[in-house]
Amino acid sequence: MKLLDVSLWLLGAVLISCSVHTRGLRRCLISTDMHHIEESFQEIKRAIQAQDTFQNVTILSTSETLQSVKPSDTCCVTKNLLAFYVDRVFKDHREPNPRILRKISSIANAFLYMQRTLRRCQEQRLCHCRQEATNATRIVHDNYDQLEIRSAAVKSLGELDVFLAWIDKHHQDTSAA
Amino acid sequence: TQTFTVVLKEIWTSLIMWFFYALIPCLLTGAVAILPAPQNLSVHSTNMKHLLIWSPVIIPGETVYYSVEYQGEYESLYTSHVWIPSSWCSLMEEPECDVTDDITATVPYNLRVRATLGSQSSAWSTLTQPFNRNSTILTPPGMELTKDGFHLVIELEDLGPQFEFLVAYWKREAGAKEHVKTVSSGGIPLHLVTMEPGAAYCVKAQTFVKAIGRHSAFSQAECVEVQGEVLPLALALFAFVGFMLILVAVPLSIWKTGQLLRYSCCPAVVLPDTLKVTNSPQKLISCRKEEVDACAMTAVLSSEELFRTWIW
Repeated sequence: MKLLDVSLWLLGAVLISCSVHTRGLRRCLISTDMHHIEESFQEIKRAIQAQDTFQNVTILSTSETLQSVKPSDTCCVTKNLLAFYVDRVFKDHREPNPRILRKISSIANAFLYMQRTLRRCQEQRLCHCRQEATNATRIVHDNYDQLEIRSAAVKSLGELDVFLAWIDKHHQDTSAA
Repeated sequence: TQTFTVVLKEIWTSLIMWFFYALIPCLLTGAVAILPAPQNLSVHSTNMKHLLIWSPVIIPGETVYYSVEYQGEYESLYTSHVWIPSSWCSLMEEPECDVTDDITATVPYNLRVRATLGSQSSAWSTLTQPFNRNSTILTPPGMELTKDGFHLVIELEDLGPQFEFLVAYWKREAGAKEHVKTVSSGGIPLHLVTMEPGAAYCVKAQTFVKAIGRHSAFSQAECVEVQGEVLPLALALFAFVGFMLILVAVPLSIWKTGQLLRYSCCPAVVLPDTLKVTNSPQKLISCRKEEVDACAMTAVLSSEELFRTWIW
Protein backbone atom coordinates (compact mmCIF):
# COMPACT_ATOMS: atom_id res chain seq x y z
CA MET A 1 0.00 0.00 0.00
CA LYS A 2 2.79 2.39 0.94
CA LEU A 3 4.52 1.71 -2.39
CA LEU A 4 1.27 2.43 -4.23
CA ASP A 5 0.84 5.72 -2.35
CA VAL A 6 4.39 6.80 -3.15
CA SER A 7 4.04 5.96 -6.84
CA LEU A 8 0.73 7.82 -7.00
CA TRP A 9 2.35 10.88 -5.43
CA LEU A 10 5.22 10.68 -7.91
CA LEU A 11 2.84 10.39 -10.85
CA GLY A 12 0.89 13.38 -9.59
CA ALA A 13 4.05 15.43 -9.21
CA VAL A 14 5.21 14.52 -12.75
CA LEU A 15 1.83 15.43 -14.22
CA ILE A 16 1.78 18.78 -12.42
CA SER A 17 5.31 19.67 -13.52
CA CYS A 18 4.46 18.69 -17.12
CA SER A 19 1.40 20.91 -17.19
CA VAL A 20 3.41 23.78 -15.69
CA HIS A 21 6.06 23.28 -18.36
CA THR A 22 3.66 23.35 -21.31
CA ARG A 23 1.55 26.13 -19.79
CA GLY A 24 4.72 28.11 -19.20
CA LEU A 25 5.17 28.74 -22.95
CA ARG A 26 1.60 29.98 -23.25
CA ARG A 27 2.06 32.25 -20.30
CA CYS A 28 5.12 33.66 -22.09
CA LEU A 29 3.09 35.43 -24.75
CA ILE A 30 0.27 36.51 -22.50
CA SER A 31 0.49 40.23 -23.00
CA THR A 32 1.08 40.29 -26.77
CA ASP A 33 -1.63 41.78 -28.91
CA MET A 34 -1.60 39.20 -31.77
CA HIS A 35 -4.84 40.56 -33.15
CA HIS A 36 -3.26 43.98 -33.74
CA ILE A 37 -0.25 42.48 -35.53
CA GLU A 38 -2.51 40.37 -37.78
CA GLU A 39 -4.63 43.42 -38.55
CA SER A 40 -1.54 45.46 -39.50
CA PHE A 41 -0.41 42.74 -41.88
CA GLN A 42 -3.85 42.31 -43.51
CA GLU A 43 -3.73 45.96 -44.55
CA ILE A 44 -0.52 45.53 -46.58
CA LYS A 45 -0.77 41.82 -47.51
CA ARG A 46 -1.96 42.28 -51.07
CA ALA A 47 0.62 44.96 -51.88
CA ILE A 48 3.49 42.86 -50.47
CA GLN A 49 2.41 39.57 -52.07
CA ALA A 50 2.01 41.34 -55.42
CA GLN A 51 5.74 42.13 -55.33
CA ASP A 52 6.60 38.42 -54.98
CA THR A 53 7.64 37.12 -58.40
CA PHE A 54 8.64 33.54 -57.42
CA GLN A 55 5.24 31.95 -56.86
CA ASN A 56 6.35 28.29 -56.93
CA VAL A 57 8.82 28.56 -54.08
CA THR A 58 8.22 28.85 -50.34
CA ILE A 59 10.66 29.92 -47.65
CA LEU A 60 8.78 28.91 -44.51
CA SER A 61 8.15 25.44 -46.04
CA THR A 62 5.10 24.97 -43.89
CA SER A 63 4.79 21.19 -44.26
CA GLU A 64 8.42 20.51 -43.40
CA THR A 65 8.82 23.06 -40.69
CA LEU A 66 5.79 24.60 -38.99
CA GLN A 67 3.37 21.70 -39.32
CA SER A 68 5.83 19.10 -38.07
CA VAL A 69 6.81 20.98 -34.90
CA LYS A 70 6.08 19.12 -31.66
CA PRO A 71 4.43 21.06 -28.80
CA SER A 72 7.59 20.92 -26.71
CA ASP A 73 9.58 22.54 -29.54
CA THR A 74 7.09 25.38 -30.11
CA CYS A 75 8.87 27.93 -27.91
CA CYS A 76 12.25 27.28 -29.55
CA VAL A 77 10.89 27.44 -33.11
CA THR A 78 8.94 30.63 -32.32
CA LYS A 79 12.04 32.23 -30.87
CA ASN A 80 14.17 31.22 -33.85
CA LEU A 81 11.69 32.37 -36.50
CA LEU A 82 11.17 35.69 -34.72
CA ALA A 83 14.94 36.18 -34.87
CA PHE A 84 14.89 35.22 -38.57
CA TYR A 85 12.41 37.98 -39.32
CA VAL A 86 13.93 40.62 -37.05
CA ASP A 87 17.60 39.99 -37.94
CA ARG A 88 17.23 39.27 -41.66
CA VAL A 89 13.88 39.82 -43.37
CA PHE A 90 12.85 43.29 -42.12
CA LYS A 91 16.38 44.60 -42.56
CA ASP A 92 16.81 43.25 -46.10
CA HIS A 93 13.53 44.67 -47.33
CA ARG A 94 13.60 48.23 -48.72
CA GLU A 95 10.15 49.79 -48.63
CA PRO A 96 9.59 53.11 -50.46
CA ASN A 97 5.87 53.41 -49.68
CA PRO A 98 5.38 55.27 -46.32
CA ARG A 99 2.00 53.61 -45.66
CA ILE A 100 3.48 50.10 -46.00
CA LEU A 101 6.64 51.12 -44.14
CA ARG A 102 4.51 52.21 -41.18
CA LYS A 103 2.83 48.80 -40.96
CA ILE A 104 6.07 46.85 -41.36
CA SER A 105 7.59 48.98 -38.59
CA SER A 106 4.62 48.18 -36.37
CA ILE A 107 5.06 44.43 -36.93
CA ALA A 108 8.85 44.55 -36.54
CA ASN A 109 8.66 46.39 -33.23
CA ALA A 110 5.96 44.01 -31.99
CA PHE A 111 8.25 41.05 -32.89
CA LEU A 112 11.05 42.71 -30.91
CA TYR A 113 8.75 42.86 -27.87
CA MET A 114 7.77 39.19 -28.34
CA GLN A 115 11.45 38.23 -28.46
CA ARG A 116 12.02 39.99 -25.13
CA THR A 117 9.12 38.12 -23.53
CA LEU A 118 10.42 34.78 -24.80
CA ARG A 119 13.90 35.59 -23.54
CA ARG A 120 12.45 35.84 -20.03
CA CYS A 121 11.01 32.34 -20.48
CA GLN A 122 14.39 31.14 -21.69
CA GLU A 123 15.98 32.38 -18.48
CA GLN A 124 13.41 30.34 -16.60
CA ARG A 125 14.44 27.29 -18.69
CA LEU A 126 11.06 26.98 -20.36
CA CYS A 127 12.34 27.33 -23.94
CA HIS A 128 14.72 24.46 -24.59
CA CYS A 129 15.99 23.87 -28.17
CA ARG A 130 16.19 20.24 -29.31
CA GLN A 131 17.86 19.07 -32.51
CA GLU A 132 14.58 18.78 -34.45
CA ALA A 133 13.66 22.38 -33.71
CA THR A 134 17.10 23.59 -34.78
CA ASN A 135 16.82 21.56 -38.01
CA ALA A 136 13.45 23.09 -38.85
CA THR A 137 14.91 26.59 -38.46
CA ARG A 138 17.91 25.71 -40.65
CA ILE A 139 15.60 24.69 -43.51
CA VAL A 140 14.02 28.15 -43.46
CA HIS A 141 17.41 29.91 -43.51
CA ASP A 142 18.63 27.68 -46.36
CA ASN A 143 15.53 28.44 -48.42
CA TYR A 144 16.08 32.15 -47.83
CA ASP A 145 19.72 31.99 -48.95
CA GLN A 146 18.84 30.30 -52.22
CA LEU A 147 17.00 33.39 -53.52
CA GLU A 148 18.31 36.84 -54.35
CA ILE A 149 18.20 38.92 -51.18
CA ARG A 150 15.44 41.38 -52.13
CA SER A 151 13.20 38.66 -53.58
CA ALA A 152 13.78 36.48 -50.54
CA ALA A 153 12.87 39.33 -48.18
CA VAL A 154 9.66 40.18 -50.06
CA LYS A 155 8.64 36.53 -50.22
CA SER A 156 9.24 36.03 -46.48
CA LEU A 157 7.23 39.15 -45.73
CA GLY A 158 4.40 37.80 -47.86
CA GLU A 159 4.41 34.56 -45.81
CA LEU A 160 3.93 36.44 -42.52
CA ASP A 161 0.24 35.49 -42.38
CA VAL A 162 1.24 31.80 -42.23
CA PHE A 163 3.70 32.47 -39.39
CA LEU A 164 1.23 34.66 -37.44
CA ALA A 165 -1.54 32.05 -37.76
CA TRP A 166 0.85 29.39 -36.49
CA ILE A 167 1.83 31.49 -33.45
CA ASP A 168 -1.84 32.21 -32.74
CA LYS A 169 -2.72 28.50 -32.91
CA HIS A 170 0.11 27.38 -30.63
CA HIS A 171 -0.29 30.12 -28.06
CA GLN A 172 -4.09 30.09 -28.08
CA ASP A 173 -4.87 29.48 -24.40
CA THR A 174 -3.41 32.77 -23.29
CA SER A 175 -5.99 33.61 -20.66
CA ALA A 176 -4.79 35.96 -17.94
CA ALA A 177 -2.75 34.09 -15.37
CA THR B 1 62.55 89.51 -34.44
CA GLN B 2 60.75 92.85 -34.45
CA THR B 3 60.01 92.49 -38.18
CA PHE B 4 58.78 88.96 -37.53
CA THR B 5 56.39 90.18 -34.81
CA VAL B 6 55.12 92.95 -37.07
CA VAL B 7 54.51 90.49 -39.92
CA LEU B 8 52.61 88.16 -37.57
CA LYS B 9 50.47 91.02 -36.33
CA GLU B 10 49.61 92.01 -39.90
CA ILE B 11 48.64 88.46 -40.82
CA TRP B 12 46.47 88.22 -37.71
CA THR B 13 44.73 91.53 -38.49
CA SER B 14 44.00 90.50 -42.09
CA LEU B 15 42.60 87.20 -40.93
CA ILE B 16 40.22 88.97 -38.55
CA MET B 17 39.18 91.39 -41.32
CA TRP B 18 38.46 88.55 -43.76
CA PHE B 19 36.46 86.78 -41.12
CA PHE B 20 34.27 89.85 -40.65
CA TYR B 21 33.92 90.32 -44.41
CA ALA B 22 32.68 86.79 -44.66
CA LEU B 23 30.13 87.46 -41.92
CA ILE B 24 28.66 90.56 -43.62
CA PRO B 25 26.46 88.66 -46.12
CA CYS B 26 25.05 86.61 -43.28
CA LEU B 27 24.23 89.72 -41.26
CA LEU B 28 22.69 91.41 -44.28
CA THR B 29 20.18 88.60 -45.02
CA GLY B 30 18.10 89.52 -41.97
CA ALA B 31 17.69 89.35 -38.26
CA VAL B 32 16.78 85.60 -38.21
CA ALA B 33 19.11 83.54 -40.32
CA ILE B 34 18.25 80.10 -38.94
CA LEU B 35 14.78 78.99 -37.84
CA PRO B 36 15.11 77.80 -34.22
CA ALA B 37 14.21 74.18 -33.49
CA PRO B 38 11.23 73.51 -31.16
CA GLN B 39 12.24 73.04 -27.50
CA ASN B 40 11.02 71.22 -24.39
CA LEU B 41 9.63 68.11 -26.05
CA SER B 42 7.65 65.83 -23.74
CA VAL B 43 5.05 63.06 -23.98
CA HIS B 44 1.91 63.09 -21.86
CA SER B 45 0.31 59.66 -21.83
CA THR B 46 -2.96 58.73 -20.09
CA ASN B 47 -4.98 55.55 -20.67
CA MET B 48 -2.97 54.60 -23.76
CA LYS B 49 -3.48 57.97 -25.47
CA HIS B 50 -0.07 59.53 -26.12
CA LEU B 51 0.36 63.24 -26.77
CA LEU B 52 3.70 64.78 -27.83
CA ILE B 53 3.93 68.47 -26.91
CA TRP B 54 6.63 71.12 -27.29
CA SER B 55 7.20 74.85 -26.85
CA PRO B 56 5.98 76.75 -29.91
CA VAL B 57 8.44 78.63 -32.13
CA ILE B 58 7.29 82.26 -32.22
CA ILE B 59 8.10 84.33 -35.31
CA PRO B 60 6.21 87.65 -35.17
CA GLY B 61 3.78 88.03 -38.05
CA GLU B 62 4.40 84.51 -39.41
CA THR B 63 2.70 81.10 -39.07
CA VAL B 64 5.13 78.32 -38.25
CA TYR B 65 4.27 74.70 -39.17
CA TYR B 66 5.52 71.56 -37.44
CA SER B 67 6.28 68.03 -38.61
CA VAL B 68 6.78 64.95 -36.44
CA GLU B 69 8.72 61.76 -37.15
CA TYR B 70 9.19 58.60 -35.09
CA GLN B 71 11.49 55.63 -34.85
CA GLY B 72 10.74 52.42 -33.00
CA GLU B 73 13.41 50.48 -31.16
CA TYR B 74 13.68 48.16 -34.18
CA GLU B 75 14.60 51.09 -36.44
CA SER B 76 17.03 52.58 -33.92
CA LEU B 77 18.86 49.21 -33.62
CA TYR B 78 18.78 47.92 -37.21
CA THR B 79 18.11 50.88 -39.55
CA SER B 80 19.08 53.96 -37.53
CA HIS B 81 18.82 56.33 -40.49
CA VAL B 82 15.16 55.47 -41.03
CA TRP B 83 12.60 57.86 -39.50
CA ILE B 84 8.92 57.43 -40.25
CA PRO B 85 6.59 60.43 -40.73
CA SER B 86 3.84 60.51 -38.11
CA SER B 87 0.38 59.37 -39.31
CA TRP B 88 -1.39 62.63 -38.43
CA CYS B 89 1.27 65.28 -37.89
CA SER B 90 2.80 66.70 -41.06
CA LEU B 91 2.88 70.49 -41.38
CA MET B 92 0.40 71.34 -38.64
CA GLU B 93 0.02 74.61 -36.76
CA GLU B 94 -0.58 73.33 -33.23
CA PRO B 95 2.50 72.61 -31.08
CA GLU B 96 1.18 69.17 -30.12
CA CYS B 97 0.71 65.79 -31.82
CA ASP B 98 -1.42 62.73 -30.99
CA VAL B 99 1.07 59.91 -31.62
CA THR B 100 -1.26 57.12 -30.36
CA ASP B 101 -1.54 55.55 -33.84
CA ASP B 102 2.25 55.65 -34.29
CA ILE B 103 3.25 54.01 -30.99
CA THR B 104 1.90 50.53 -31.75
CA ALA B 105 4.34 48.27 -29.88
CA THR B 106 5.50 48.12 -26.27
CA VAL B 107 9.07 49.17 -27.03
CA PRO B 108 10.91 52.52 -26.61
CA TYR B 109 10.17 55.00 -29.40
CA ASN B 110 12.26 58.04 -30.41
CA LEU B 111 10.27 61.09 -31.47
CA ARG B 112 11.49 64.25 -33.21
CA VAL B 113 9.94 67.56 -34.34
CA ARG B 114 11.03 70.37 -36.61
CA ALA B 115 9.56 73.75 -37.50
CA THR B 116 8.98 74.94 -41.08
CA LEU B 117 8.48 78.50 -42.33
CA GLY B 118 8.08 78.83 -46.08
CA SER B 119 11.09 77.13 -47.64
CA GLN B 120 13.09 77.19 -44.43
CA SER B 121 13.18 74.28 -41.99
CA SER B 122 14.70 74.16 -38.53
CA ALA B 123 16.94 71.41 -37.25
CA TRP B 124 15.26 68.31 -35.81
CA SER B 125 14.62 68.43 -32.09
CA THR B 126 14.53 64.93 -30.50
CA LEU B 127 12.86 63.73 -27.32
CA THR B 128 15.58 63.41 -24.64
CA GLN B 129 14.33 60.06 -23.28
CA PRO B 130 12.69 57.51 -25.63
CA PHE B 131 9.03 56.91 -24.80
CA ASN B 132 7.65 53.45 -23.98
CA ARG B 133 3.88 53.11 -23.83
CA ASN B 134 4.05 50.89 -20.75
CA SER B 135 4.68 54.10 -18.79
CA THR B 136 1.17 55.38 -19.57
CA ILE B 137 -0.86 56.59 -16.57
CA LEU B 138 -3.86 54.29 -16.03
CA THR B 139 -6.80 55.89 -14.22
CA PRO B 140 -9.60 54.00 -12.43
CA PRO B 141 -12.55 53.66 -14.84
CA GLY B 142 -15.75 55.70 -14.56
CA MET B 143 -18.76 53.50 -13.80
CA GLU B 144 -22.52 53.98 -13.60
CA LEU B 145 -24.65 51.71 -11.41
CA THR B 146 -28.40 51.37 -11.98
CA LYS B 147 -31.14 49.21 -10.45
CA ASP B 148 -33.60 47.42 -12.70
CA GLY B 149 -35.96 45.91 -10.13
CA PHE B 150 -33.67 43.57 -8.21
CA HIS B 151 -31.06 43.51 -10.97
CA LEU B 152 -27.87 45.48 -10.52
CA VAL B 153 -26.67 46.84 -13.88
CA ILE B 154 -23.26 48.38 -14.50
CA GLU B 155 -22.02 50.50 -17.41
CA LEU B 156 -18.28 51.16 -17.62
CA GLU B 157 -16.44 53.97 -19.43
CA ASP B 158 -15.50 53.13 -23.04
CA LEU B 159 -11.70 53.37 -23.21
CA GLY B 160 -11.13 51.58 -26.50
CA PRO B 161 -10.34 48.03 -27.64
CA GLN B 162 -7.12 47.69 -25.65
CA PHE B 163 -8.93 47.88 -22.30
CA GLU B 164 -10.49 45.09 -20.24
CA PHE B 165 -12.22 45.64 -16.90
CA LEU B 166 -12.24 43.72 -13.62
CA VAL B 167 -15.36 44.38 -11.57
CA ALA B 168 -15.44 43.38 -7.89
CA TYR B 169 -18.73 43.33 -5.98
CA TRP B 170 -19.82 42.14 -2.52
CA LYS B 171 -22.80 42.25 -0.16
CA ARG B 172 -22.28 44.90 2.52
CA GLU B 173 -22.31 42.62 5.57
CA ALA B 174 -19.68 41.11 7.85
CA GLY B 175 -17.75 38.25 6.28
CA ALA B 176 -19.22 38.73 2.82
CA LYS B 177 -17.33 37.13 -0.08
CA GLU B 178 -15.98 39.35 -2.87
CA HIS B 179 -16.93 38.27 -6.39
CA VAL B 180 -14.93 39.31 -9.47
CA LYS B 181 -16.27 39.55 -13.00
CA THR B 182 -14.23 40.28 -16.17
CA VAL B 183 -15.80 42.69 -18.66
CA SER B 184 -14.21 42.75 -22.10
CA SER B 185 -15.31 46.23 -23.18
CA GLY B 186 -16.93 49.38 -21.84
CA GLY B 187 -19.84 51.50 -23.02
CA ILE B 188 -22.41 48.66 -22.78
CA PRO B 189 -24.81 48.09 -19.85
CA LEU B 190 -24.15 44.74 -18.21
CA HIS B 191 -26.13 42.73 -15.63
CA LEU B 192 -23.92 42.21 -12.60
CA VAL B 193 -26.00 40.41 -9.97
CA THR B 194 -29.59 39.79 -8.86
CA MET B 195 -29.82 41.42 -5.43
CA GLU B 196 -31.53 40.02 -2.35
CA PRO B 197 -34.19 42.26 -0.85
CA GLY B 198 -33.08 44.42 2.05
CA ALA B 199 -29.37 44.05 1.25
CA ALA B 200 -26.78 46.62 0.21
CA TYR B 201 -24.24 45.80 -2.50
CA CYS B 202 -20.92 47.55 -3.16
CA VAL B 203 -19.03 47.63 -6.47
CA LYS B 204 -15.56 48.78 -7.57
CA ALA B 205 -13.71 48.39 -10.88
CA GLN B 206 -10.23 48.54 -12.41
CA THR B 207 -8.90 48.43 -15.96
CA PHE B 208 -6.42 45.93 -17.43
CA VAL B 209 -4.37 46.61 -20.57
CA LYS B 210 -3.23 43.30 -22.09
CA ALA B 211 -0.67 44.95 -24.41
CA ILE B 212 1.40 46.30 -21.50
CA GLY B 213 0.32 43.80 -18.80
CA ARG B 214 -0.74 46.47 -16.30
CA HIS B 215 -3.82 47.22 -14.13
CA SER B 216 -5.11 50.59 -13.04
CA ALA B 217 -5.99 51.27 -9.39
CA PHE B 218 -9.50 50.30 -8.26
CA SER B 219 -12.15 53.00 -8.43
CA GLN B 220 -13.92 54.22 -5.28
CA ALA B 221 -16.48 51.65 -4.13
CA GLU B 222 -20.09 52.60 -4.84
CA CYS B 223 -22.93 51.01 -2.90
CA VAL B 224 -26.63 50.52 -3.71
CA GLU B 225 -29.48 49.31 -1.49
CA VAL B 226 -32.62 47.40 -2.31
CA GLN B 227 -35.94 47.92 -0.48
CA GLY B 228 -36.48 45.35 2.30
CA GLU B 229 -39.43 43.08 3.29
CA VAL B 230 -41.63 45.92 4.75
CA LEU B 231 -43.22 46.66 1.44
CA PRO B 232 -44.04 43.06 0.52
CA LEU B 233 -45.55 42.49 4.03
CA ALA B 234 -47.83 45.51 3.76
CA LEU B 235 -48.82 44.39 0.31
CA ALA B 236 -49.61 40.88 1.60
CA LEU B 237 -51.76 42.24 4.45
CA PHE B 238 -53.60 44.54 2.13
CA ALA B 239 -54.19 41.71 -0.29
CA PHE B 240 -55.53 39.46 2.51
CA VAL B 241 -58.00 42.07 3.78
CA GLY B 242 -59.15 42.74 0.29
CA PHE B 243 -59.65 39.04 -0.33
CA MET B 244 -61.73 38.61 2.84
CA LEU B 245 -63.91 41.56 1.87
CA ILE B 246 -64.47 40.07 -1.53
CA LEU B 247 -65.28 36.70 0.06
CA VAL B 248 -68.08 38.30 2.10
CA ALA B 249 -69.30 40.92 -0.33
CA VAL B 250 -69.70 38.70 -3.37
CA PRO B 251 -72.25 36.18 -1.94
CA LEU B 252 -74.11 39.04 -0.29
CA SER B 253 -74.46 40.94 -3.49
CA ILE B 254 -75.45 37.80 -5.40
CA TRP B 255 -78.21 37.11 -2.87
CA LYS B 256 -79.42 40.71 -2.99
CA THR B 257 -79.42 40.71 -6.77
CA GLY B 258 -81.37 37.48 -6.76
CA GLN B 259 -83.98 38.95 -4.51
CA LEU B 260 -84.28 42.07 -6.64
CA LEU B 261 -84.73 39.98 -9.74
CA ARG B 262 -87.40 37.86 -8.04
CA TYR B 263 -89.43 40.90 -7.02
CA SER B 264 -89.10 42.64 -10.33
CA CYS B 265 -89.93 39.81 -12.71
CA CYS B 266 -91.72 37.10 -10.79
CA PRO B 267 -93.40 38.55 -7.69
CA ALA B 268 -95.53 36.19 -5.46
CA VAL B 269 -99.15 37.33 -5.61
CA VAL B 270 -100.72 37.50 -2.09
CA LEU B 271 -104.28 38.67 -1.47
CA PRO B 272 -104.69 41.17 1.35
CA ASP B 273 -106.75 39.95 4.34
CA THR B 274 -109.70 42.12 3.57
CA LEU B 275 -110.26 40.41 0.26
CA LYS B 276 -109.87 36.89 1.61
CA VAL B 277 -112.87 34.53 1.25
CA THR B 278 -113.74 32.89 4.58
CA ASN B 279 -116.67 30.46 5.47
CA SER B 280 -119.13 33.34 5.34
CA PRO B 281 -122.80 32.84 4.49
CA GLN B 282 -122.68 35.72 2.14
CA LYS B 283 -122.30 34.44 -1.27
CA LEU B 284 -120.23 36.09 -3.84
CA ILE B 285 -122.37 38.09 -6.17
CA SER B 286 -121.58 38.26 -9.82
CA CYS B 287 -123.56 41.01 -11.39
CA ARG B 288 -124.28 41.20 -14.97
CA LYS B 289 -126.61 43.54 -16.78
CA GLU B 290 -129.08 40.72 -17.79
CA GLU B 291 -129.25 39.45 -14.35
CA VAL B 292 -129.97 42.73 -12.70
CA ASP B 293 -133.23 41.41 -11.39
CA ALA B 294 -131.67 38.27 -10.16
CA CYS B 295 -129.10 40.36 -8.44
CA ALA B 296 -131.73 42.54 -6.92
CA MET B 297 -133.69 39.43 -5.73
CA THR B 298 -130.59 37.90 -4.32
CA ALA B 299 -129.83 41.13 -2.58
CA VAL B 300 -133.37 41.25 -1.08
CA LEU B 301 -133.08 37.68 0.11
CA SER B 302 -129.99 38.42 2.17
CA SER B 303 -130.96 41.89 3.24
CA GLU B 304 -131.44 40.84 6.80
CA GLU B 305 -127.95 39.59 6.95
CA LEU B 306 -126.68 42.73 5.34
CA PHE B 307 -128.58 44.94 7.77
CA ARG B 308 -127.21 42.99 10.67
CA THR B 309 -123.59 43.37 9.48
CA TRP B 310 -124.08 47.07 8.72
CA ILE B 311 -125.29 47.65 12.27
CA TRP B 312 -122.40 45.77 13.78
